[in-house]
Amino acid sequence: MKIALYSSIASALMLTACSTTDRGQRTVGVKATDLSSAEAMLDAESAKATERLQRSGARIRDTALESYVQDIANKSAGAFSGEVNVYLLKVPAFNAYMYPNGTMGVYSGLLLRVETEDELALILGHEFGHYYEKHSLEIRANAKNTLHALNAVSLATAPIYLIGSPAVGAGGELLGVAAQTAILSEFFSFNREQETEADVIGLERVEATGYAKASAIKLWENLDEEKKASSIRKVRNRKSKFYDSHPTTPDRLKALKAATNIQGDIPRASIGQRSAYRDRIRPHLMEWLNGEIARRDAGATLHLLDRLDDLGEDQGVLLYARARVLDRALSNKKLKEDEVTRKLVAGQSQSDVVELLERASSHSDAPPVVYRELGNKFYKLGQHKAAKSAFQQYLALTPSAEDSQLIESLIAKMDIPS
Amino acid sequence: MIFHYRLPVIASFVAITLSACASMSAVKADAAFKAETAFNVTPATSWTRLPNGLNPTTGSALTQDGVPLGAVYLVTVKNEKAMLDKIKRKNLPRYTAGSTPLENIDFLESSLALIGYVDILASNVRPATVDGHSGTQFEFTGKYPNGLEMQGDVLMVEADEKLNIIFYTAPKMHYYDKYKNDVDAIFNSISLN
Repeated sequence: MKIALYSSIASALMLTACSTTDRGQRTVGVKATDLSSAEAMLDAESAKATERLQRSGARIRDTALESYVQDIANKSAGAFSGEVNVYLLKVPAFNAYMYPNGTMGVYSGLLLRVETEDELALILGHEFGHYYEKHSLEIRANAKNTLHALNAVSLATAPIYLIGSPAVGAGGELLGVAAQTAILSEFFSFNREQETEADVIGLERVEATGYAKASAIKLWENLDEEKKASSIRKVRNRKSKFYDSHPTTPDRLKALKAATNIQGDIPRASIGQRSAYRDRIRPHLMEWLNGEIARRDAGATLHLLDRLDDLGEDQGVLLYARARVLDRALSNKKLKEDEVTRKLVAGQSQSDVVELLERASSHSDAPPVVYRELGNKFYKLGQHKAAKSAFQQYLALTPSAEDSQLIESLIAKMDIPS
Repeated sequence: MIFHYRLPVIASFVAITLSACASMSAVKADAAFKAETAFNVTPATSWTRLPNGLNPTTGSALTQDGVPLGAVYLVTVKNEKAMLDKIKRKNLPRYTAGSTPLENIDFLESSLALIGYVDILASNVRPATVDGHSGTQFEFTGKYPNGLEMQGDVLMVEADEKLNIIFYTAPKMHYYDKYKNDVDAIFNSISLN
């Protein structure tokens, strides 16, 4: 009798707790006027986050590139273009995000992986989708509902445990755990649904702004392949989990392919389109690649380099990056504990690193540090004549190098007969 | 009654507070200091040694006014080991015995990047000698993720298959210069064991 009573109370509580999460869509130029509202609170928090972004140490201070990305975001946002502000950040990870106030963060790891403007437009359109659909407000409402539902379940199951026999008590606990898991699962599923909704809006915006939506989704296929190539087991073997906030890349790709009616292979953008995009990011290519190399995921970075290599451009920079990836994988025993890395470096040695550096140096875009790296490798291998020549070439190309004293001391050391 | 009730509570509080501070210790001026390193330094001024929980490196960290305003790190890294073993990742930068000075600089810069430094730029990179062992010394600038501009000094010496590192880092504005003389005294006092 009492159990039934408590269960009814809990059910009633759960039902009242589940208020709607739909907050509708934004209207151009309309901001929260009630300062006590959740929307105003989120806007205020976002304004603080925007300030942090503006002075972030990771911010890419390249006006031309930021304007380029901002223009695409404006196109995606259409009538809302004055409400979306893009900030670029030097972070070697594939990510972009949108604050409720229209501030968007885009990582260098994303800009490096995107191959065309179409693909970038898809991502920016997706982020705009979060803004347009007021997803932050909906997430907040969903979190509130989830909390209420969890409280209701606790209320319902605790009395059962208190008043019942040990057997009933255990049943009550199990019921509680199962109900809580179901509620949390629903919470995360809601987040994934929002991502899917934003994907759909992204596609719509791509089409509406004249970009090619079929080739835009190639990005997700490339990402999926990069993950499979990763030297980090957790990354390459990742399966979907109930607590994921985003759909997995294969799920996302499947949904996007279905939405664009692509049955087989996704068409790849033309060389001209990819080359035009590369021109935009070229000034940052080496620095962003250095960030990727520092992650020490040889498999994923080499996969990325293979794709970047496909254009046949930037060979000096790409070969140098390849040499650095191989060098790090060869000289760090811990990295070789991974089977993918072991396969990648199998049969390779420092001579292969030298060969890559020498090939890099033969290209006109080779950065001067290629010669410093070559000198360093030859120095370590005891090939002093070659080391001196490479170091001297480095100093000739960068006479005001900050490490010139050290390099000169290494050259002098090699002059002393041993 | 209130007294009897309060005494254990106060005693517990004091005990917790004391245990929390247990690893924070004074480093006296003009006395040789060595902790978890294969070298000694003799500071000319007093410093405070940070508890391990606040120190991302495997060595010791000294400060005067708190880490954000300036800290000196003293670390000895063994072959195949990382400088930041509190970060549990297989793909950490690791020192390899016999590395060249340029590789050692790369090791340090990669380690600093992992603890949040952005745009690290080494300058005035020059050879150094400590107790007959050759090393490298340089200055660097960088930024914290929040955009605060940092400046620092580094001295690295390889001996007995170990890399000995002293590095100092402080906000570029005001604080770097404030501690510079005290830090120079530490750098100049290094003595390998």
